[in-house]
Amino acid sequence: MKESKNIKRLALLFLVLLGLIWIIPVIWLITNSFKYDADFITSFANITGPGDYLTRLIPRSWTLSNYTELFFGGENVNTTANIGLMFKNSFIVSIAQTVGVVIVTSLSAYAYERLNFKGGDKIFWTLMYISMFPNVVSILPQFRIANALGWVNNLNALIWPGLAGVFNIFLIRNFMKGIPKALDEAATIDGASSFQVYTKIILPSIAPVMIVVGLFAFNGAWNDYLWPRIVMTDVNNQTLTAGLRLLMGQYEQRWAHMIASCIVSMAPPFLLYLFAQKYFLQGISVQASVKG
Amino acid sequence: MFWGVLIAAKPSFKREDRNILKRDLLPYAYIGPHLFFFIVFFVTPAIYGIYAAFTKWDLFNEPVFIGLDNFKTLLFDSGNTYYKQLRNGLFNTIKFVIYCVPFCIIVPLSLALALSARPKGNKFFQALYYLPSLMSISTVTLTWRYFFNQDYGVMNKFFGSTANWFTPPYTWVMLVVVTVWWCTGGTMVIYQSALASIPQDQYEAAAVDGAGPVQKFLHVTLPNMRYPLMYTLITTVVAQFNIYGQPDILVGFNNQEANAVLLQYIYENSVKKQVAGMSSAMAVILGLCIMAVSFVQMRLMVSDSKD
Repeated sequence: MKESKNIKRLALLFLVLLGLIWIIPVIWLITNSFKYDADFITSFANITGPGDYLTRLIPRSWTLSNYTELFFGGENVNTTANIGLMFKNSFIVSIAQTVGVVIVTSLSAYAYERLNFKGGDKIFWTLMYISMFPNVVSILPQFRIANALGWVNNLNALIWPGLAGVFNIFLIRNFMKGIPKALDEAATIDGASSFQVYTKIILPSIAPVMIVVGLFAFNGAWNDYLWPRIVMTDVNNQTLTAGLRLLMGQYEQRWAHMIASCIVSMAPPFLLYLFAQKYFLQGISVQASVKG
Repeated sequence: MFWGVLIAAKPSFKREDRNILKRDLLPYAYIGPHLFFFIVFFVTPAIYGIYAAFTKWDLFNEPVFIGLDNFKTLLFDSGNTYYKQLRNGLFNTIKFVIYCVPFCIIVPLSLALALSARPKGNKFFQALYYLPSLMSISTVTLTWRYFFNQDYGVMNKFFGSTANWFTPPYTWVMLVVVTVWWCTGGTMVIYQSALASIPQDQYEAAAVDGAGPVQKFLHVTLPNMRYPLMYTLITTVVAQFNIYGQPDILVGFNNQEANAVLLQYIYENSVKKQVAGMSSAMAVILGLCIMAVSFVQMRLMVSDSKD
Protein backbone atom coordinates (compact mmCIF):
# COMPACT_ATOMS: atom_id res chain seq x y z
CA MET A 1 0.00 0.00 0.00
CA LYS A 2 2.80 2.37 0.95
CA GLU A 3 4.62 1.56 -2.25
CA SER A 4 1.64 2.41 -4.41
CA LYS A 5 1.12 5.70 -2.57
CA ASN A 6 4.69 6.72 -3.32
CA ILE A 7 4.25 5.75 -6.93
CA LYS A 8 1.13 7.88 -7.10
CA ARG A 9 3.01 10.87 -5.71
CA LEU A 10 5.89 10.36 -8.10
CA ALA A 11 3.47 10.08 -11.01
CA LEU A 12 1.69 13.27 -10.00
CA LEU A 13 4.97 15.16 -9.67
CA PHE A 14 6.02 14.04 -13.15
CA LEU A 15 2.65 14.98 -14.66
CA VAL A 16 2.72 18.43 -13.06
CA LEU A 17 6.30 19.25 -14.08
CA LEU A 18 5.93 18.17 -17.68
CA GLY A 19 2.41 19.62 -17.71
CA LEU A 20 3.87 23.12 -17.32
CA ILE A 21 5.22 22.89 -20.87
CA TRP A 22 1.75 21.93 -22.02
CA ILE A 23 -0.29 24.46 -20.10
CA ILE A 24 1.82 27.63 -20.13
CA PRO A 25 1.52 28.27 -23.89
CA VAL A 26 -2.23 27.76 -23.65
CA ILE A 27 -2.67 30.12 -20.69
CA TRP A 28 -0.43 32.59 -22.47
CA LEU A 29 -2.72 32.52 -25.50
CA ILE A 30 -5.89 32.86 -23.47
CA THR A 31 -4.91 35.82 -21.29
CA ASN A 32 -3.29 37.70 -24.16
CA SER A 33 -6.40 37.31 -26.28
CA PHE A 34 -8.17 39.73 -23.92
CA LYS A 35 -5.63 42.52 -24.38
CA TYR A 36 -6.08 45.45 -26.74
CA ASP A 37 -3.80 45.28 -29.76
CA ALA A 38 -2.21 48.54 -28.70
CA ASP A 39 -1.44 47.18 -25.24
CA PHE A 40 0.07 43.95 -26.46
CA ILE A 41 3.61 45.11 -27.23
CA THR A 42 3.78 47.84 -24.60
CA SER A 43 2.61 45.39 -21.94
CA PHE A 44 5.90 43.55 -22.33
CA ALA A 45 8.16 46.62 -22.20
CA ASN A 46 10.89 47.01 -19.57
CA ILE A 47 10.43 43.73 -17.81
CA THR A 48 12.47 43.55 -14.62
CA GLY A 49 12.35 39.83 -13.90
CA PRO A 50 10.51 36.55 -14.12
CA GLY A 51 7.90 37.55 -11.51
CA ASP A 52 7.28 40.81 -13.29
CA TYR A 53 6.83 38.93 -16.55
CA LEU A 54 4.01 36.86 -15.11
CA THR A 55 2.08 39.93 -14.02
CA ARG A 56 2.39 41.32 -17.55
CA LEU A 57 0.44 38.36 -18.89
CA ILE A 58 -2.68 39.69 -17.21
CA PRO A 59 -4.28 42.41 -19.32
CA ARG A 60 -4.23 45.90 -17.76
CA SER A 61 -7.60 46.52 -19.31
CA TRP A 62 -9.66 43.58 -20.46
CA THR A 63 -11.57 43.56 -23.71
CA LEU A 64 -13.78 41.17 -25.61
CA SER A 65 -13.41 43.19 -28.81
CA ASN A 66 -10.87 40.77 -30.30
CA TYR A 67 -13.56 38.12 -30.30
CA THR A 68 -16.60 40.21 -31.22
CA GLU A 69 -14.81 41.97 -34.07
CA LEU A 70 -13.91 38.63 -35.62
CA PHE A 71 -17.58 37.96 -36.21
CA PHE A 72 -19.16 41.37 -36.48
CA GLY A 73 -16.36 43.53 -37.84
CA GLY A 74 -15.49 46.81 -36.20
CA GLU A 75 -13.44 49.94 -36.42
CA ASN A 76 -10.37 49.53 -38.63
CA VAL A 77 -11.18 45.91 -39.24
CA ASN A 78 -11.11 45.04 -42.88
CA THR A 79 -13.45 42.11 -43.26
CA THR A 80 -12.60 40.78 -46.69
CA ALA A 81 -12.12 37.39 -45.09
CA ASN A 82 -15.46 36.65 -43.52
CA ILE A 83 -14.75 34.47 -40.54
CA GLY A 84 -18.44 33.67 -40.04
CA LEU A 85 -18.60 32.20 -43.52
CA MET A 86 -15.39 30.25 -42.95
CA PHE A 87 -16.88 28.88 -39.76
CA LYS A 88 -19.95 27.73 -41.63
CA ASN A 89 -17.82 26.06 -44.31
CA SER A 90 -15.73 24.30 -41.69
CA PHE A 91 -18.85 22.98 -39.97
CA ILE A 92 -20.45 21.76 -43.19
CA VAL A 93 -17.27 19.99 -44.29
CA SER A 94 -16.43 18.49 -40.90
CA ILE A 95 -19.94 17.26 -40.09
CA ALA A 96 -20.55 15.80 -43.56
CA GLN A 97 -17.20 14.04 -43.53
CA THR A 98 -17.77 12.70 -40.01
CA VAL A 99 -21.14 11.21 -40.93
CA GLY A 100 -19.70 9.72 -44.12
CA VAL A 101 -16.68 8.23 -42.37
CA VAL A 102 -18.77 6.70 -39.59
CA ILE A 103 -21.10 4.96 -42.05
CA VAL A 104 -18.50 3.82 -44.57
CA THR A 105 -15.85 2.61 -42.11
CA SER A 106 -18.22 0.73 -39.80
CA LEU A 107 -19.75 -1.11 -42.77
CA SER A 108 -16.29 -2.07 -44.01
CA ALA A 109 -14.95 -3.10 -40.63
CA TYR A 110 -18.03 -5.27 -40.07
CA ALA A 111 -17.50 -7.11 -43.34
CA TYR A 112 -13.76 -7.63 -42.82
CA GLU A 113 -14.14 -8.75 -39.24
CA ARG A 114 -17.38 -10.72 -39.19
CA LEU A 115 -18.44 -11.87 -42.64
CA ASN A 116 -15.36 -14.09 -43.07
CA PHE A 117 -15.25 -13.87 -46.81
CA LYS A 118 -12.54 -15.29 -48.99
CA GLY A 119 -9.63 -12.90 -49.48
CA GLY A 120 -11.12 -10.35 -47.10
CA ASP A 121 -8.08 -10.24 -44.85
CA LYS A 122 -5.80 -10.03 -47.88
CA ILE A 123 -7.74 -7.07 -49.25
CA PHE A 124 -7.67 -5.32 -45.90
CA TRP A 125 -3.92 -5.67 -45.35
CA THR A 126 -3.24 -4.66 -48.95
CA LEU A 127 -5.16 -1.46 -48.26
CA MET A 128 -3.13 -0.95 -45.08
CA TYR A 129 0.12 -1.28 -47.04
CA ILE A 130 -1.02 1.03 -49.82
CA SER A 131 -2.23 3.63 -47.34
CA MET A 132 1.37 4.02 -46.12
CA PHE A 133 2.13 5.59 -49.47
CA PRO A 134 2.96 9.24 -48.81
CA ASN A 135 0.33 11.79 -49.64
CA VAL A 136 2.86 14.11 -51.27
CA VAL A 137 3.00 12.12 -54.46
CA SER A 138 -0.73 12.30 -54.91
CA ILE A 139 -1.69 15.79 -53.81
CA LEU A 140 -1.11 17.36 -57.24
CA PRO A 141 -3.02 14.63 -59.11
CA GLN A 142 -5.75 14.97 -56.48
CA PHE A 143 -6.13 18.54 -57.63
CA ARG A 144 -6.49 17.31 -61.22
CA ILE A 145 -9.22 14.90 -60.16
CA ALA A 146 -11.03 17.62 -58.21
CA ASN A 147 -10.73 19.82 -61.27
CA ALA A 148 -12.13 17.11 -63.55
CA LEU A 149 -15.11 16.69 -61.22
CA GLY A 150 -15.71 20.43 -61.20
CA TRP A 151 -14.91 20.57 -57.49
CA VAL A 152 -12.37 23.37 -57.42
CA ASN A 153 -13.90 25.95 -55.09
CA ASN A 154 -16.58 23.46 -54.15
CA LEU A 155 -16.98 22.06 -50.64
CA ASN A 156 -17.38 18.54 -52.09
CA ALA A 157 -13.63 18.52 -52.70
CA LEU A 158 -13.05 18.81 -48.96
CA ILE A 159 -15.66 16.24 -47.91
CA TRP A 160 -15.32 13.08 -49.99
CA PRO A 161 -11.56 12.38 -50.21
CA GLY A 162 -11.56 12.03 -46.41
CA LEU A 163 -13.61 8.85 -46.74
CA ALA A 164 -10.66 6.99 -48.24
CA GLY A 165 -8.79 6.47 -44.94
CA VAL A 166 -7.98 2.95 -43.74
CA PHE A 167 -6.75 3.58 -40.21
CA ASN A 168 -10.24 3.95 -38.74
CA ILE A 169 -11.34 0.59 -40.14
CA PHE A 170 -8.34 -0.93 -38.39
CA LEU A 171 -9.39 0.67 -35.08
CA ILE A 172 -12.99 -0.54 -35.40
CA ARG A 173 -11.90 -4.06 -36.34
CA ASN A 174 -9.74 -4.26 -33.26
CA PHE A 175 -12.62 -3.13 -31.10
CA MET A 176 -14.99 -5.64 -32.71
CA LYS A 177 -12.70 -8.51 -31.74
CA GLY A 178 -13.86 -7.91 -28.18
CA ILE A 179 -17.55 -8.46 -29.00
CA PRO A 180 -18.59 -12.13 -28.64
CA LYS A 181 -19.35 -13.79 -31.98
CA ALA A 182 -22.08 -15.79 -30.24
CA LEU A 183 -24.26 -12.67 -30.36
CA ASP A 184 -24.16 -12.54 -34.17
CA GLU A 185 -24.70 -16.26 -34.46
CA ALA A 186 -27.72 -16.30 -32.17
CA ALA A 187 -29.29 -13.48 -34.14
CA THR A 188 -28.58 -15.23 -37.45
CA ILE A 189 -30.26 -18.40 -36.19
CA ASP A 190 -33.26 -16.28 -35.23
CA GLY A 191 -33.44 -15.29 -38.90
CA ALA A 192 -31.74 -11.90 -38.83
CA SER A 193 -30.05 -10.86 -42.08
CA SER A 194 -26.44 -9.74 -42.01
CA PHE A 195 -27.56 -6.15 -42.31
CA GLN A 196 -29.89 -6.54 -39.33
CA VAL A 197 -27.01 -8.02 -37.33
CA TYR A 198 -25.01 -4.94 -38.28
CA THR A 199 -27.66 -2.41 -37.26
CA LYS A 200 -29.14 -4.20 -34.24
CA ILE A 201 -26.10 -5.88 -32.65
CA ILE A 202 -22.80 -4.56 -33.99
CA LEU A 203 -23.52 -0.82 -34.19
CA PRO A 204 -24.79 -0.48 -30.61
CA SER A 205 -21.83 -2.45 -29.23
CA ILE A 206 -19.17 -0.52 -31.13
CA ALA A 207 -20.54 2.89 -30.09
CA PRO A 208 -17.43 3.80 -28.01
CA VAL A 209 -14.99 3.28 -30.88
CA MET A 210 -17.36 5.01 -33.31
CA ILE A 211 -17.40 8.09 -31.08
CA VAL A 212 -13.60 8.13 -31.16
CA VAL A 213 -13.56 7.60 -34.93
CA GLY A 214 -16.10 10.41 -35.26
CA LEU A 215 -13.86 12.72 -33.26
CA PHE A 216 -10.83 11.79 -35.38
CA ALA A 217 -12.81 12.43 -38.58
CA PHE A 218 -14.19 15.76 -37.38
CA ASN A 219 -10.82 16.87 -36.07
CA GLY A 220 -9.03 15.81 -39.25
CA ALA A 221 -11.45 17.66 -41.49
CA TRP A 222 -11.51 20.71 -39.24
CA ASN A 223 -7.72 20.99 -39.01
CA ASP A 224 -6.76 20.11 -42.57
CA TYR A 225 -4.48 22.83 -43.81
CA LEU A 226 -2.70 22.08 -47.06
CA TRP A 227 -5.52 20.62 -49.16
CA PRO A 228 -8.06 23.44 -48.62
CA ARG A 229 -5.34 25.95 -49.46
CA ILE A 230 -4.71 24.21 -52.76
CA VAL A 231 -8.25 23.46 -53.86
CA MET A 232 -10.17 26.50 -52.52
CA THR A 233 -9.00 29.51 -54.46
CA ASP A 234 -11.89 31.77 -53.45
CA VAL A 235 -11.76 33.22 -49.92
CA ASN A 236 -15.47 32.77 -49.41
CA ASN A 237 -15.20 29.00 -49.82
CA GLN A 238 -12.28 28.64 -47.44
CA THR A 239 -12.37 26.73 -44.17
CA LEU A 240 -11.36 28.34 -40.91
CA THR A 241 -8.05 26.53 -40.39
CA ALA A 242 -6.73 27.35 -43.84
CA GLY A 243 -8.32 30.79 -43.66
CA LEU A 244 -6.37 31.71 -40.53
CA ARG A 245 -3.43 32.20 -42.83
CA LEU A 246 -5.38 34.94 -44.61
CA LEU A 247 -6.31 36.50 -41.30
CA MET A 248 -2.61 36.58 -40.41
CA GLY A 249 -2.02 38.82 -43.40
CA GLN A 250 -5.07 40.89 -42.63
CA TYR A 251 -4.29 41.26 -38.94
CA GLU A 252 -0.63 42.03 -39.37
CA GLN A 253 0.61 43.77 -36.25
CA ARG A 254 -2.72 42.98 -34.58
CA TRP A 255 -1.47 40.24 -32.32
CA ALA A 256 -4.41 40.08 -29.95
CA HIS A 257 -6.85 39.64 -32.84
CA MET A 258 -4.70 36.89 -34.23
CA ILE A 259 -4.54 35.06 -30.91
CA ALA A 260 -8.30 35.33 -30.45
CA SER A 261 -8.93 33.83 -33.87
CA CYS A 262 -6.63 30.92 -32.99
CA ILE A 263 -8.63 30.22 -29.87
CA VAL A 264 -11.92 30.43 -31.72
CA SER A 265 -10.67 27.94 -34.31
CA MET A 266 -9.63 25.52 -31.54
CA ALA A 267 -12.95 25.62 -29.70
CA PRO A 268 -15.15 23.15 -31.66
CA PRO A 269 -12.71 20.19 -31.65
CA PHE A 270 -12.00 20.82 -27.98
CA LEU A 271 -15.69 20.82 -27.00
CA LEU A 272 -16.19 17.62 -28.96
CA TYR A 273 -13.21 16.07 -27.18
CA LEU A 274 -14.66 16.87 -23.75
CA PHE A 275 -17.79 14.99 -24.78
CA ALA A 276 -15.82 12.03 -26.16
CA GLN A 277 -13.16 11.78 -23.46
CA LYS A 278 -14.79 9.07 -21.40
CA TYR A 279 -15.01 6.77 -24.43
CA PHE A 280 -11.40 7.30 -25.39
CA LEU A 281 -9.62 4.55 -23.52
CA GLN A 282 -12.32 2.04 -24.33
CA GLY A 283 -12.36 2.98 -27.97
CA ILE A 284 -8.70 3.13 -28.93
CA SER A 285 -7.15 -0.27 -28.99
CA VAL A 286 -4.50 -1.48 -31.36
CA GLN A 287 -3.89 -4.66 -29.39
CA ALA A 288 -3.78 -7.77 -31.51
CA SER A 289 -4.31 -10.01 -28.53
CA VAL A 290 -7.85 -8.86 -27.69
CA LYS A 291 -10.01 -11.60 -29.11
CA GLY A 292 -13.63 -12.52 -28.55
CA MET B 1 -16.16 -11.17 -58.69
CA PHE B 2 -17.51 -9.56 -61.85
CA TRP B 3 -18.32 -12.93 -63.40
CA GLY B 4 -20.20 -13.66 -60.23
CA VAL B 5 -22.41 -10.65 -60.78
CA LEU B 6 -23.28 -11.80 -64.28
CA ILE B 7 -24.05 -15.32 -63.18
CA ALA B 8 -26.08 -14.17 -60.24
CA ALA B 9 -28.25 -12.11 -62.55
CA LYS B 10 -29.25 -15.19 -64.52
CA PRO B 11 -32.64 -16.45 -63.36
CA SER B 12 -32.05 -20.01 -64.61
CA PHE B 13 -29.99 -20.96 -61.52
CA LYS B 14 -31.37 -23.03 -58.71
CA ARG B 15 -32.41 -21.26 -55.55
CA GLU B 16 -29.65 -22.72 -53.35
CA ASP B 17 -26.99 -21.73 -55.86
CA ARG B 18 -28.31 -18.20 -55.92
CA ASN B 19 -28.21 -18.05 -52.14
CA ILE B 20 -24.62 -19.23 -52.07
CA LEU B 21 -23.66 -16.65 -54.66
CA LYS B 22 -25.52 -13.98 -52.75
CA ARG B 23 -23.66 -14.94 -49.61
CA ASP B 24 -20.33 -14.78 -51.41
CA LEU B 25 -20.99 -11.41 -52.97
CA LEU B 26 -22.64 -9.76 -50.02
CA PRO B 27 -19.40 -8.72 -48.23
CA TYR B 28 -18.41 -6.68 -51.27
CA ALA B 29 -21.54 -4.60 -50.87
CA TYR B 30 -20.31 -3.66 -47.38
CA ILE B 31 -16.72 -2.89 -48.29
CA GLY B 32 -17.70 -1.44 -51.68
CA PRO B 33 -18.35 2.18 -50.65
CA HIS B 34 -15.00 2.48 -48.89
CA LEU B 35 -13.16 0.72 -51.72
CA PHE B 36 -14.73 3.16 -54.15
CA PHE B 37 -13.49 6.22 -52.26
CA PHE B 38 -10.12 4.57 -51.67
CA ILE B 39 -9.61 3.85 -55.35
CA VAL B 40 -10.85 7.22 -56.60
CA PHE B 41 -9.15 9.49 -54.05
CA PHE B 42 -6.11 7.48 -52.98
CA VAL B 43 -5.00 4.88 -55.51
CA THR B 44 -5.71 6.84 -58.69
CA PRO B 45 -3.87 10.01 -57.64
CA ALA B 46 -0.98 7.91 -56.32
CA ILE B 47 -0.59 6.09 -59.62
CA TYR B 48 -0.87 9.36 -61.52
CA GLY B 49 1.76 10.82 -59.20
CA ILE B 50 4.14 7.95 -59.89
CA TYR B 51 3.56 8.34 -63.62
CA ALA B 52 4.24 12.09 -63.32
CA ALA B 53 7.69 11.28 -61.93
CA PHE B 54 8.63 10.03 -65.40
CA THR B 55 7.41 13.15 -67.16
CA LYS B 56 8.07 16.81 -67.71
CA TRP B 57 5.00 18.52 -66.32
CA ASP B 58 4.06 22.13 -65.58
CA LEU B 59 0.81 21.27 -63.72
CA PHE B 60 -1.43 22.87 -66.34
CA ASN B 61 -0.69 21.08 -69.61
CA GLU B 62 -0.50 17.35 -70.24
CA PRO B 63 2.64 15.74 -68.80
CA VAL B 64 5.21 14.69 -71.42
CA PHE B 65 6.82 11.28 -70.89
CA ILE B 66 10.62 11.51 -70.63
CA GLY B 67 11.54 8.15 -69.12
CA LEU B 68 14.10 8.06 -66.36
CA ASP B 69 15.50 11.55 -66.99
CA ASN B 70 14.22 13.04 -63.72
CA PHE B 71 15.70 10.23 -61.70
CA LYS B 72 19.01 10.42 -63.59
CA THR B 73 19.24 14.14 -62.75
CA LEU B 74 18.26 13.63 -59.13
CA LEU B 75 20.57 10.74 -58.44
CA PHE B 76 23.64 11.30 -60.61
CA ASP B 77 23.90 14.87 -61.94
CA SER B 78 25.95 16.29 -59.08
CA GLY B 79 26.08 19.83 -60.49
CA ASN B 80 22.31 20.15 -60.68
CA THR B 81 20.21 22.19 -58.21
CA TYR B 82 17.65 19.42 -57.84
CA TYR B 83 20.39 16.90 -57.08
CA LYS B 84 21.58 19.13 -54.25
CA GLN B 85 18.03 19.75 -53.05
CA LEU B 86 17.27 16.05 -52.87
CA ARG B 87 20.43 15.29 -50.90
CA ASN B 88 19.99 18.21 -48.51
CA GLY B 89 16.24 17.70 -48.09
CA LEU B 90 16.43 13.96 -47.58
CA PHE B 91 19.37 14.33 -45.20
CA ASN B 92 17.48 16.91 -43.10
CA THR B 93 14.31 14.83 -43.13
CA ILE B 94 16.14 11.73 -41.88
CA LYS B 95 17.96 13.84 -39.29
CA PHE B 96 14.61 15.12 -38.08
CA VAL B 97 13.13 11.60 -37.90
CA ILE B 98 16.12 10.39 -35.86
CA TYR B 99 15.94 13.34 -33.45
CA CYS B 100 12.20 13.27 -33.09
CA VAL B 101 10.97 9.69 -33.03
CA PRO B 102 12.59 8.57 -29.74
CA PHE B 103 10.94 11.48 -27.91
CA CYS B 104 7.62 10.87 -29.69
CA ILE B 105 7.62 7.38 -28.17
CA ILE B 106 9.26 7.87 -24.76
CA VAL B 107 7.35 10.99 -23.67
CA PRO B 108 3.86 9.53 -24.34
CA LEU B 109 4.89 6.19 -22.83
CA SER B 110 6.09 7.74 -19.58
CA LEU B 111 2.98 9.94 -19.44
CA ALA B 112 0.72 6.93 -19.97
CA LEU B 113 2.57 5.04 -17.22
CA ALA B 114 2.20 8.00 -14.87
CA LEU B 115 -1.51 8.31 -15.67
CA SER B 116 -2.04 4.57 -15.15
CA ALA B 117 -0.95 4.99 -11.52
CA ARG B 118 -4.22 6.98 -11.22
CA PRO B 119 -2.91 10.02 -9.36
CA LYS B 120 -5.17 12.96 -8.48
CA GLY B 121 -6.41 14.97 -11.44
CA ASN B 122 -6.05 12.04 -13.82
CA LYS B 123 -8.78 13.22 -16.19
CA PHE B 124 -7.50 16.79 -16.21
CA PHE B 125 -3.98 15.74 -17.14
CA GLN B 126 -5.23 13.45 -19.87
CA ALA B 127 -7.19 16.32 -21.41
CA LEU B 128 -4.25 18.71 -21.02
CA TYR B 129 -1.75 16.44 -22.75
CA TYR B 130 -4.26 15.64 -25.48
CA LEU B 131 -5.14 19.29 -26.12
CA PRO B 132 -2.40 20.05 -28.70
CA SER B 133 -3.51 17.05 -30.79
CA LEU B 134 -6.77 18.92 -31.32
CA MET B 135 -4.99 21.91 -32.79
CA SER B 136 -4.15 22.52 -36.43
CA ILE B 137 -0.54 22.88 -37.51
CA SER B 138 -1.01 26.62 -38.02
CA THR B 139 -2.29 27.15 -34.47
CA VAL B 140 0.47 25.00 -32.98
CA THR B 141 3.27 26.80 -34.76
CA LEU B 142 1.77 30.21 -34.08
CA THR B 143 1.54 29.38 -30.39
CA TRP B 144 5.20 28.48 -30.27
CA ARG B 145 6.25 31.48 -32.28
CA TYR B 146 4.74 33.59 -29.52
CA PHE B 147 6.18 31.37 -26.81
CA PHE B 148 9.76 31.70 -28.07
CA ASN B 149 9.52 35.28 -29.30
CA GLN B 150 12.55 37.36 -28.41
CA ASP B 151 10.57 40.42 -27.37
CA TYR B 152 7.69 39.00 -25.40
CA GLY B 153 8.08 35.19 -25.28
CA VAL B 154 8.27 33.13 -22.11
CA MET B 155 11.64 31.62 -22.97
CA ASN B 156 13.41 34.93 -23.29
CA LYS B 157 11.55 37.12 -20.84
CA PHE B 158 10.73 34.62 -18.10
CA PHE B 159 13.69 32.26 -18.23
CA GLY B 160 16.07 35.03 -19.26
CA SER B 161 17.41 33.43 -22.44
CA THR B 162 18.94 35.87 -24.90
CA ALA B 163 18.93 33.53 -27.85
CA ASN B 164 16.95 33.92 -31.03
CA TRP B 165 15.30 30.51 -31.07
CA PHE B 166 14.46 30.67 -34.74
CA THR B 167 18.06 30.62 -35.95
CA PRO B 168 20.58 27.75 -35.88
CA PRO B 169 21.66 25.94 -33.81
CA TYR B 170 18.38 26.25 -31.89
CA THR B 171 16.06 25.51 -34.80
CA TRP B 172 16.42 21.75 -34.44
CA VAL B 173 15.57 21.96 -30.74
CA MET B 174 12.50 24.03 -31.59
CA LEU B 175 11.34 21.62 -34.28
CA VAL B 176 11.64 18.62 -31.96
CA VAL B 177 9.97 20.33 -28.98
CA VAL B 178 7.05 21.57 -31.05
CA THR B 179 6.57 18.24 -32.80
CA VAL B 180 6.64 16.27 -29.54
CA TRP B 181 4.22 18.77 -27.98
CA TRP B 182 1.85 18.35 -30.90
CA CYS B 183 2.03 14.57 -31.34
CA THR B 184 2.22 13.26 -27.79
CA GLY B 185 -1.52 13.11 -27.07
CA GLY B 186 -2.49 10.77 -29.87
CA THR B 187 0.18 8.20 -29.01
CA MET B 188 -0.43 8.56 -25.29
CA VAL B 189 -4.08 7.48 -25.48
CA ILE B 190 -3.09 4.36 -27.43
CA TYR B 191 -0.60 3.43 -24.69
CA GLN B 192 -3.12 4.24 -21.96
CA SER B 193 -5.66 1.92 -23.48
CA ALA B 194 -3.05 -0.82 -23.94
CA LEU B 195 -1.89 -0.45 -20.32
CA ALA B 196 -5.47 -0.68 -19.08
CA SER B 197 -6.00 -3.97 -20.92
CA ILE B 198 -3.04 -5.79 -19.32
CA PRO B 199 -4.53 -8.46 -17.03
CA GLN B 200 -4.03 -7.54 -13.38
CA ASP B 201 -3.27 -11.13 -12.35
CA GLN B 202 0.01 -10.96 -14.27
CA TYR B 203 1.12 -8.13 -11.99
CA GLU B 204 -0.08 -10.03 -8.95
CA ALA B 205 1.82 -13.13 -10.00
CA ALA B 206 4.95 -11.02 -10.49
CA ALA B 207 4.46 -9.47 -7.05
CA VAL B 208 4.22 -12.94 -5.50
CA ASP B 209 7.54 -13.75 -7.14
CA GLY B 210 8.95 -10.69 -5.41
CA ALA B 211 9.26 -8.40 -8.44
CA GLY B 212 9.72 -4.67 -7.80
CA PRO B 213 8.25 -1.86 -9.96
CA VAL B 214 11.16 -1.93 -12.42
CA GLN B 215 11.00 -5.70 -12.87
CA LYS B 216 7.22 -5.55 -13.26
CA PHE B 217 7.69 -2.95 -15.99
CA LEU B 218 10.34 -5.00 -17.80
CA HIS B 219 8.72 -8.42 -17.47
CA VAL B 220 4.98 -7.69 -17.49
CA THR B 221 4.31 -4.24 -18.96
CA LEU B 222 6.77 -4.18 -21.85
CA PRO B 223 5.97 -7.65 -23.28
CA ASN B 224 2.27 -6.80 -23.20
CA MET B 225 2.95 -3.49 -24.94
CA ARG B 226 4.94 -5.03 -27.77
CA TYR B 227 2.21 -4.67 -30.37
CA PRO B 228 1.05 -1.11 -29.58
CA LEU B 229 4.67 0.01 -29.34
CA MET B 230 5.45 -1.43 -32.73
CA TYR B 231 2.31 0.03 -34.22
CA THR B 232 2.96 3.54 -32.90
CA LEU B 233 6.58 3.30 -34.00
CA ILE B 234 5.47 2.72 -37.59
CA THR B 235 2.87 5.47 -37.61
CA THR B 236 5.26 7.92 -35.93
CA VAL B 237 8.10 7.23 -38.36
CA VAL B 238 5.75 7.62 -41.33
CA ALA B 239 4.25 10.81 -39.90
CA GLN B 240 7.64 12.40 -39.16
CA PHE B 241 9.01 11.52 -42.61
CA ASN B 242 6.14 13.65 -43.87
CA ILE B 243 7.27 16.68 -41.87
CA TYR B 244 6.40 19.91 -43.61
CA GLY B 245 4.40 22.42 -41.59
CA GLN B 246 6.72 22.87 -38.62
CA PRO B 247 9.85 24.05 -40.46
CA ASP B 248 7.76 25.89 -43.05
CA ILE B 249 5.87 28.10 -40.62
CA LEU B 250 8.30 28.16 -37.68
CA VAL B 251 11.58 28.75 -39.41
CA GLY B 252 10.56 29.84 -42.87
CA PHE B 253 11.95 28.41 -46.08
CA ASN B 254 14.08 30.85 -47.94
CA ASN B 255 16.50 31.81 -45.20
CA GLN B 256 16.96 28.39 -43.69
CA GLU B 257 18.64 25.99 -46.08
CA ALA B 258 20.06 24.19 -43.04
CA ASN B 259 16.59 23.08 -41.98
CA ALA B 260 14.89 22.64 -45.33
CA VAL B 261 13.21 19.24 -45.44
CA LEU B 262 12.41 17.37 -48.63
CA LEU B 263 8.70 18.13 -48.57
CA GLN B 264 9.42 21.84 -48.58
CA TYR B 265 11.46 21.47 -51.76
CA ILE B 266 8.72 19.33 -53.29
CA TYR B 267 6.06 21.89 -52.46
CA GLU B 268 8.15 24.86 -53.62
CA ASN B 269 9.12 23.19 -56.89
CA SER B 270 5.68 21.92 -57.76
CA VAL B 271 3.13 24.46 -56.58
CA LYS B 272 5.24 27.61 -56.81
CA LYS B 273 7.69 26.86 -59.64
CA GLN B 274 5.56 24.39 -61.61
CA VAL B 275 8.32 21.84 -62.14
CA ALA B 276 5.87 19.15 -61.12
CA GLY B 277 7.50 16.22 -62.91
CA MET B 278 10.79 16.68 -61.07
CA SER B 279 9.04 17.17 -57.73
CA SER B 280 6.97 14.05 -58.33
CA ALA B 281 10.23 12.14 -58.81
CA MET B 282 11.48 13.57 -55.50
CA ALA B 283 8.22 12.55 -53.86
CA VAL B 284 8.50 9.02 -55.22
CA ILE B 285 12.01 8.73 -53.78
CA LEU B 286 10.72 9.96 -50.41
CA GLY B 287 7.83 7.52 -50.69
CA LEU B 288 10.20 4.62 -51.36
CA CYS B 289 12.20 5.53 -48.25
CA ILE B 290 9.05 5.62 -46.12
CA MET B 291 7.74 2.36 -47.51
CA ALA B 292 11.10 0.63 -47.04
CA VAL B 293 11.15 1.66 -43.39
CA SER B 294 7.56 0.74 -42.67
CA PHE B 295 7.51 -2.46 -44.71
CA VAL B 296 9.60 -4.50 -42.29
CA GLN B 297 7.65 -3.34 -39.25
CA MET B 298 4.35 -3.83 -41.03
CA ARG B 299 5.23 -7.44 -41.84
CA LEU B 300 5.90 -8.12 -38.19
CA MET B 301 2.48 -6.70 -37.38
CA VAL B 302 0.61 -8.81 -39.92
CA SER B 303 2.26 -12.04 -38.79
CA ASP B 304 1.46 -11.00 -35.25
CA SER B 305 -2.25 -10.51 -35.84
CA LYS B 306 -2.58 -13.87 -37.57
CA ASP B 307 -1.33 -15.81 -34.54
